Amino acid sequence: MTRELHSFPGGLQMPTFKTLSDQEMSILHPLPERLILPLQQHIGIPSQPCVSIGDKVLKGQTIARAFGYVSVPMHASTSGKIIDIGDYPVPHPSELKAPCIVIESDGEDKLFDIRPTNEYASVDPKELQDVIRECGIIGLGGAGFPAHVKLNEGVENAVDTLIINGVECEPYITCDDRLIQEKASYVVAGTRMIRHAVQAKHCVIAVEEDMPAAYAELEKLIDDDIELVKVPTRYPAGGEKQLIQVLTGKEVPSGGLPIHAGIVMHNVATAAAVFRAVTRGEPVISRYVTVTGLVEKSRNLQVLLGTTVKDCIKACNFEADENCRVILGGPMMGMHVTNPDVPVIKTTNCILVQENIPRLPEMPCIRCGNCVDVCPVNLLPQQLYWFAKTDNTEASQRHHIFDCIECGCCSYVCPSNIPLVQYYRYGKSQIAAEERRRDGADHASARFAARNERLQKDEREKQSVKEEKRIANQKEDKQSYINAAVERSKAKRALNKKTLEDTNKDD
Amino acid sequence: MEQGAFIIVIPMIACLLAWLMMPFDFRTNTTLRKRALVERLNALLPQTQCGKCSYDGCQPYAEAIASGKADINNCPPGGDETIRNISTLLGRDMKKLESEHEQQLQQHVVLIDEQICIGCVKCINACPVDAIIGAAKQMHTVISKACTGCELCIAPCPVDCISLVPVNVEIKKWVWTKPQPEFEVST
Amino acid sequence: MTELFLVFIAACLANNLVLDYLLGTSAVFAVSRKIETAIGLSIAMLVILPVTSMFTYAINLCILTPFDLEFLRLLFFVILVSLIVLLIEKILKKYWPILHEKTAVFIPILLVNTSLVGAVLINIQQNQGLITSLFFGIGSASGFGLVVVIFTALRDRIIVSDIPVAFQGASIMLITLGILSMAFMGFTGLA
Repeated sequence: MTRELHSFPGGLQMPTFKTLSDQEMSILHPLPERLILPLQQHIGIPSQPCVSIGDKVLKGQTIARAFGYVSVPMHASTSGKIIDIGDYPVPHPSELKAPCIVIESDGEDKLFDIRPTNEYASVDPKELQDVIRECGIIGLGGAGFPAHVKLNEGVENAVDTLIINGVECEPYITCDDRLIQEKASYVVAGTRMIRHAVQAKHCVIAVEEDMPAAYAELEKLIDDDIELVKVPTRYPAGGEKQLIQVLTGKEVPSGGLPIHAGIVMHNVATAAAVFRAVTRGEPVISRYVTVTGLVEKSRNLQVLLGTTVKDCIKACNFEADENCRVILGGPMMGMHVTNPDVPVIKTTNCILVQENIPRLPEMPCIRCGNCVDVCPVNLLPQQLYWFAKTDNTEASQRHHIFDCIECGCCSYVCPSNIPLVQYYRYGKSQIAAEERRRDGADHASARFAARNERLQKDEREKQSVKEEKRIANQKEDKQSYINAAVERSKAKRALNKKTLEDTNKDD
Repeated sequence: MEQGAFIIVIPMIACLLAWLMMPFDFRTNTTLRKRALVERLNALLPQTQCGKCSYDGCQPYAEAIASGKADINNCPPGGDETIRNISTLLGRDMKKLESEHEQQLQQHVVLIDEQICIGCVKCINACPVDAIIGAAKQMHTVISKACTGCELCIAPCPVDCISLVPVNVEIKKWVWTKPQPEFEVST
Repeated sequence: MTELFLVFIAACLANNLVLDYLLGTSAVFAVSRKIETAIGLSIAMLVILPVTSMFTYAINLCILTPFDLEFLRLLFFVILVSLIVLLIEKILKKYWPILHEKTAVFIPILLVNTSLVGAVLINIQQNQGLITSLFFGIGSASGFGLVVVIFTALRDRIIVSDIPVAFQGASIMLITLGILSMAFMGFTGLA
């Protein structure tokens, strides 16, 4: 049964540079001295530390607990001592610091007592969900969304198709390719486990056309239960919504999720992590990272989470200096880091070292429309650019700025070198900030109204007290008036009596 | 042709005369519409009740704009964003902020130095959103989450223990900056 | 039938009220900030102009001409147009409240709109009959609406562009209207 492939609008054919790093086996990165583990490596609420400074931990031990539903725990990547829980630089475009747990490794790499889940096929999907959550599994393709939440949606809504995304569309990155070639059994077994967890009717593993070795490895292991599909090489075919469109022809509704189209998608690395978690109880403590670009020896490394980017580059015989630009991720969607001491986290898939050539200057928009031709989401990048530039947040939202996947195709083709994606990011964060300010204003307005009410109540109370006093005074006056009148009449009667007595006496 | 015209014209003249007999009613619910406009303007203002626009609070300023007495660009805490929103609502041109104060956009809160505070409750009475808690001769402190940075409490304090501090930028509230092209723009 | 259609096309495109006769440009500028107000004014014109042109034609035919009062035409029509606009507003309020809500705000613009009075006078100049007046009215109003909507879109793009200081504001708008007018000259041979 060959699946009929569709296509998504726009997109680009790009030189891929994959041969730089996918020719050799991946190597294990040597055990670093220090591991910096940020408490937030996923989308959602950061995890809370459950160890203290000075504690000795083992490899795979939980060191931070999940907080809330959209959160996962964090584990120690190696055995050692907790030397600090504080703010350290993290891979974030703001270059701000965030809370991290720092472990000093003791060199022994002693494993924690982890337990497998046996007979997963007979296990309740909910239980599988808990195992996946407890092992800290998130979307390892780069999104970082907690995997158990997606699985839960699959359990609650009927899932038609499970898609395992091995389509590595961004240039330079080959970590998923090497993972499939070296650990194909993990991927396939993990796929079957996830399929059991979401009870999907169909199951597809998708790889790109320029990954023939990976395709061959997977072909050996699949049965009729899983469909293996080769997708034409086109950037960004590996994007969630784009891949769904290629494989099923269905479009995920604007502002909606794939589950609304009956589809659940996970990355191949997530599937491999699920396999590890269920069969060994092993949490997410390391991942494949491609180190490529100017480095002398481009290759894939299996890196323990928390290893610094500097160490990874050093392992490829290179020292990053001012003439280089270090990018975490690929050349299209990656993040530029200026501080090489940031750690590798669960969503780091590539470290790209580029030459630090100055950017071409931005020129005025000539309204050529090249950007509109290549947008894979069918948006109007030119209009979004004008709206973001003039801070027209209402129009940006009407033109669906939040549906932009920030793939960078539009910036790539712009003849005026306009950094379009930067404008859209600015626009999106302005809208989010505006909403926060509006919430603040509503909050302040409610407090203001409450204060006015309080003052009015105080005023009313004061008035009523005054009123009571006035009435009391009146009453008092009245009483004294009556008393005075009574006295007067008494006195008069007494006088009358006296005069009567006197007249009687006289007689 | 003339006959056809007469058939239309005479009823129309009759309608016109009949309508002319009725008293003219030019009142078109202006009061109701105005109140709705004031509500909408008030919703766009930042609700700091700071008085920097030279009106008593956000509602009086909204009323002044609606009746045309005040211009749309006098609100410093709202900044350019508020001016833009108001100009879109009223169909007017965008203007720059015209005020002796700087643009703020809710980025400051106040802090009471507890060592100096004497517990006089003057700041508590001044705060329009009751963001300062305390009582007479008791310690006063500011609830930062409720503080809007209106600065109305700073003046009444007899010992000058209240200072304005910038809000820390957390990763969650961090925003991207707008790319600045190098070519010059005349606007 | 074809003549009526040609009258419609001529009034809408070839002899556009705003771009050929240059009437009602202030109304165009006033409402072309937002697309909602532009469409609102277009609908208001579409409702009022056909009725007004028919009515004034009839008045001219039956009252002014027989009594040799053509010299009162302008004065009479200005007052008449205002009254008709108000009358139609009242009728709309009673029978089509939704439409009335949308268009009531434009009544002040329409009361003193040069395009209304101008269209009515042009119609009488053409002197082609009552039904033709109706189609002329519909055509003129459609043409006006078309120009207003086009101009709103143009204005959106002008505002965000880098305009030299000397041209900012009304200057660039008028120049744009002029260029649009030249573009519409291409329709001259149509009718």
